[in-house]
Amino acid sequence: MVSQQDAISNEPPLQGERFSPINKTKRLSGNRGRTPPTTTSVVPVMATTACFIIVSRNDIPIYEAEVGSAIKKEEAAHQHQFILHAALDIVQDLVWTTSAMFLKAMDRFNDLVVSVYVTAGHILHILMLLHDSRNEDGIKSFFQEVHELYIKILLNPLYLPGSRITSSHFDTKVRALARKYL
Amino acid sequence: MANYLSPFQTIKSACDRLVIAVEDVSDLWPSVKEGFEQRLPFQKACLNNKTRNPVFVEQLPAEFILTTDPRLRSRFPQEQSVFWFREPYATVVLVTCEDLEEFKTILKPRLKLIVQNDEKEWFIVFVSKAHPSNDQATKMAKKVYAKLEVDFSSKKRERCCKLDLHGTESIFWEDLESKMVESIRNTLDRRVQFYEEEIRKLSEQRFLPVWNFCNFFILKESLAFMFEMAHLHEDSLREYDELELCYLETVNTPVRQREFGGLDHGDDQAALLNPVFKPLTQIIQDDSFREFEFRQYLFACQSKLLFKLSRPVEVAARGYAFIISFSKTLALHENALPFCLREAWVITACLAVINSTSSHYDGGVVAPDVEKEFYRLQGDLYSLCRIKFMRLAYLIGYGVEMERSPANSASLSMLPWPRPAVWPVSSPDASSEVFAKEKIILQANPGAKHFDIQRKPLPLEPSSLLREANRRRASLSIGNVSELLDSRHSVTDGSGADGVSKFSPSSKTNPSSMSRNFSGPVNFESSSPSLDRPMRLSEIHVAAEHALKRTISDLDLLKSLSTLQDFEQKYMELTKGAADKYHNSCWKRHGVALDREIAALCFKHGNFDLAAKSYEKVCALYAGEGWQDLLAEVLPNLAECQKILNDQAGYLSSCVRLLSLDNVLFSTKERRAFQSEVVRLAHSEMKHPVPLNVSSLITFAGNPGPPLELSDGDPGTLSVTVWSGFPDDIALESLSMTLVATNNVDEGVEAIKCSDAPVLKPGRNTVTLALPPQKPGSYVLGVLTGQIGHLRFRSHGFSKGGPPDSDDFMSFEKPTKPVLKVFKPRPLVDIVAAISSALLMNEPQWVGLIVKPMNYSLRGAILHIDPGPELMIEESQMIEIEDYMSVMERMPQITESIALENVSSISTEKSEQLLLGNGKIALPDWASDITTVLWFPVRAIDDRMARGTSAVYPQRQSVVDGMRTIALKLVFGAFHNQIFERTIAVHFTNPLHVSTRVVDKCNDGNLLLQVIMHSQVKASIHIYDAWIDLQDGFVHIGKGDGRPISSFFPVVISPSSRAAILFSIRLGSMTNEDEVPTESILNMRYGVSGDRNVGAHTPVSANPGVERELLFKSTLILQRPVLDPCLAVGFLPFSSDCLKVGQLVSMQWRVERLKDLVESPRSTLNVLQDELLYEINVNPDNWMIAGRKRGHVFLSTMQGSRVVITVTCVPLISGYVRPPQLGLPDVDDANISYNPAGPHLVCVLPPTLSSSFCVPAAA
Repeated sequence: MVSQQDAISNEPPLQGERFSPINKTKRLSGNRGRTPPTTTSVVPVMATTACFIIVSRNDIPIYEAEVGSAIKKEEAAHQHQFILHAALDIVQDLVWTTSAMFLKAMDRFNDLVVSVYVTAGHILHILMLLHDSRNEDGIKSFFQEVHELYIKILLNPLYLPGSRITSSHFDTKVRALARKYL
Repeated sequence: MANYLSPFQTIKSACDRLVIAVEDVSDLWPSVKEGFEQRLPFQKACLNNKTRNPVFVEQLPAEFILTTDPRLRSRFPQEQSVFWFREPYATVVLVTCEDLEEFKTILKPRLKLIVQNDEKEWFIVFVSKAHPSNDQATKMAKKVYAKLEVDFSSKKRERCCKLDLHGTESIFWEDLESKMVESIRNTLDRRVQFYEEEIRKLSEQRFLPVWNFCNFFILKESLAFMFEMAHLHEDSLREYDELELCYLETVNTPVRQREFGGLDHGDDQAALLNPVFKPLTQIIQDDSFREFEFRQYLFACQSKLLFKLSRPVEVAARGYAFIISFSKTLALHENALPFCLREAWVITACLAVINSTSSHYDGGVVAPDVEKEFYRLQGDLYSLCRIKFMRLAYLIGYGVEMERSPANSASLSMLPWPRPAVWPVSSPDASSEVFAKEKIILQANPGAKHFDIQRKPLPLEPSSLLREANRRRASLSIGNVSELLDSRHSVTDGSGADGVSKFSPSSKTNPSSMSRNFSGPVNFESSSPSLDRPMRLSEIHVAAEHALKRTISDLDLLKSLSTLQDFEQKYMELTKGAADKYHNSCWKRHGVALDREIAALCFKHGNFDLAAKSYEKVCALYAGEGWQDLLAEVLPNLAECQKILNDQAGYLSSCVRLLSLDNVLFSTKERRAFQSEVVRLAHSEMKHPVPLNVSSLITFAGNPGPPLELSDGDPGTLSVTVWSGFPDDIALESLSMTLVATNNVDEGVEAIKCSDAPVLKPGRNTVTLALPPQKPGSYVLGVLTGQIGHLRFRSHGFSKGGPPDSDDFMSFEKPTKPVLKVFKPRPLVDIVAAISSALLMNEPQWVGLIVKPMNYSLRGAILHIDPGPELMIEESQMIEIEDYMSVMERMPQITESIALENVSSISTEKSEQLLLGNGKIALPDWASDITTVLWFPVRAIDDRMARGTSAVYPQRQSVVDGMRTIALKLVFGAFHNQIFERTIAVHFTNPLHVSTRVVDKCNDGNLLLQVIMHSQVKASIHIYDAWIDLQDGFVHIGKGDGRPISSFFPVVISPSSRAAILFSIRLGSMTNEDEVPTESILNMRYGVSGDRNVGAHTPVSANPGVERELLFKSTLILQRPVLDPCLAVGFLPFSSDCLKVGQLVSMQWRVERLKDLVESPRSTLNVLQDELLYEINVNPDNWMIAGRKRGHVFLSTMQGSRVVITVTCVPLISGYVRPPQLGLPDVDDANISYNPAGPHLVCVLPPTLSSSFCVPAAA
């Protein structure tokens, strides 16, 4: 969704407008590319928000987890789902224009960022993560490992592809990965 | 140079096209002006762009200005370098001359003077006034022009052209145009070069302290403006882009503090599309410009050019990015700007971009991608505008009226509050407004959810406004904030709950509204908020409203914030705009999120129809994509709309969908509420009862394991597992299920009803359905239908086998596991006779029936036995049944024992005796699945006595004689629905077949009669005694009783073997008495030892211990020899060797009288004794007889008289055929002696090939 970008702190906000390959003109990238020199040092060690969802084809969510370390607010789950769902609009535009599997920071919502990992299978499965951390490498590794886990789930003959993942083992592993990487 | 800015602006506004100077030497301009100006604007001009590439410009405007014009004259020379763009781009020198001399002396020097300025691009137009008819003048003009060309044109460049005023030379105009364009091009190139040089020089000094942005700007914009005049918009745009980059660079160097701007009245209205909003002279600051105005100015220039280039999509894209980045810039300067200027600016900017791009966008020939992108950008702009608008509205107290949806909440709760330097304070005289606001807050009924759903309302604010506003008030100390927090806590703890709850009925559900009223009625009395007292929420709202009124100059925006109605109208407009644009751009998820907001507002205004429609759209998307959390949030609203609209069908289906959502999304209490709604409606009188689809709620599956298998015609019971998603037990009026045959789809399916009205428990239920006989095939479960109250429902939901909660039942296809298999009609049972050989006639015998079930249970089967004619069942006897397999096991033993003639009763361990009642017996249960043999005693009745035959002429008895039938009917199956009928033939026979033969005629007249006994049964026959009762004319030799030597007995005849007994008899005298038997009878006493499994056996007797001797009688026909032949018939040989078809042949018989006829007492019957009747017996198919078949011949009564009877015949077919026979009907056979006897068969050859002989088609 469209959002207004405001900085919580007084420093200039980083990368404000929504990233989209189409409106990425030279002018904008020149504008955006500047990172305030203070940012890296000032990133506070604080509770992170992260909502992870696996979306199967037909856009059906088959796994959801709030994996952030922030204290879970009851109302936040709705918002996170809402943001991730709306981000599918962008995924569907973007996914066929690139061969990359990991689409980092594909959508932004205020200070939350949506990163997406599209599996390379014949069927479109999308791993989406809504997060506020900037650790791109960690997110990428998280996605890759979850993808492996997901493939293991798929290999289970009792699992019907496209149905909800109810395995508690999977859940535990995903949460462990989230702690490790995010 | 900065002081050039003002004249620069004036010049720029005055000058809008290229100038071409006209040097009117000979006062010709008025006469040619019209023709010249007709050529404007230039249709196609080839110019060079900045990179010296040719660009074709269409419709290039230009203006002809006389050099004497004050516009060109009144210019200060020092300005020229900067404002060169307004100088003429070409000079046209108009001359005429009719005299060479004049030209040389006057005109040429003058022209030389004019064109000596090298910087000018010039060319000469010679106007010939000579009329074409005037040859002299024309020649003169040509001469002068030629001279002119020699003087002024060079090889490199033609600088002259000639115009005939009276001629119509189109070539001239083209020539003129090309010359003008060439001049313009050259000038332009030179000027571009000049400007570039200047700009480069300035750029090099950029980091020097003398650097002045204004100068750079004037140069750069001059160049841009020149490009724009020349319609080289691309180049112009590039200049502006570079200018912007350069500006941002200077602005961001934190060298010195600059004024930002934006403090003037009206600055809240974005001027990003209006370059002349403020004169640049007003925004100049030191050596640069104020950022607020100047960046908008630059963007306005860019967008103007982009519109000229017909690129509204790019305007939208750049506009959106600009608004975002500029908004951030505004945020940096927010504490210096008026309260909420930033929000107001974003709103107006978005609307301006939307309006201008929409009006410029014609949607014509653009790629679909571009079009989508455009709509998406517009949607983004609308959406951004909407959020900012909502934020403003929240500040002035309309927040309580806003829908707390995830979309709104996500947008607003993550958006920080405005950060003015000082939060506005309400004025003391605004108490009435404060009161009004207070009232609005108290009256508001936030988020009353339907179905009593209790949810924490989603926040619309990043943090409490109360806290934020008070914190930002300059006078409030930190201590006061903590005090404020403490009072909040006390309310939360409940200590102040009584005082608060009076004013805030929703305090329990809405923590933010609690905080609004934290100060309670105590502070309410003090009308003016002192500086040391925190403001109340209503006061904050009023203060914000006042501040906004001061900030916002846009009347439209002010109006839309003035009342709640206006706010909602504007809100609706923005939301609809955003939703429409997103839908147009295929961003359905974004669009649908906004549809939900539209629906919420429609609902609030009582426009339930529209609300329902929008909600349906939203629900359809969320349901289709399976985002249940989001669906759970919207669906109750839709249900409520439908309830209000009295759309019962929709309401019911919404309730069902609510129930079928994931369990965790709603509490049990809420789910019960949904169920009670469904049940309430189902039991009410519905006007238009509609079938309800509950596929997601009630699912079903066949039982795991192999399908139920039924034979054709069998009913059965099918048990089906049904999962109910209702939270409570639900009573159904009926429940039925259709079965769909997998092999033929088109056949109408019939529903199978559940016998009772089931009550479905939550979760798994097992329902038993009575199954009527089905057609053969395999069946899968089709549709579950049922009735709750008056409501019919159906479910297609097929669950995989687990409870539906854990399965994503939408995502997998229905498995086609059959639940029922009905086999094709096939033999289910077979009944055959156990024995193949014959049984004893007239004796009680066991008949065995092998009852063989074929994979089908015979439990409870009943066998009807109906013996045919001449057969009766010995009802006194029990019927025995035994296991066939055990019989088969001992079969070798049995055959052996028969061979050893030592048959003992071998009983099987599995056998039972049954009683036949009324022709029926019930099979025992142990026999229901195994092959059994059923033994029952019958007796075939045959009154006729067995007949012996002659061994010389053996005559076989017909098999049919001993055949008896038993009609069987087996009724079986679980419902006695299967019937098997069969008629079994049983063969009965006499034990022996007797034939006789005279072995020897002894010399003394005794005859040795051999009686051959042929055993007919597969059992040993013991003959204990045998004797013959002879017929008349035969007597036993001696005084014997007709028995052979008794010591021979008993004779044992093995199965199917023969034995013989010799009797010696002789001919006796005929008595002619009536009582004397005409046939001899062979009597025989015998016994049988056999097994019933093989064939004939010892007759069944009531007391099995006693072995009874049986009596067998057979007639024997003994024929006395021919004793008194009186006629001899002899067949004469054929005259030819071979007979041929169609060849006449004579048959000849010779008849000779052997005896005087008188002596014969029997021939008294002959009336005419010398007449002999003859008859030819012949098969008419084989022979054609020519002549009489029957007639009399004369034969003397004298002994030895002869006659030859000749008959001519024609054989009709070839082969061995029986020849005609001569018969004498009047004479007894005993008196005729055939000697020699006629042939039995004669050989007839086929006809010769050449002959054409017709055979009659039929006799």
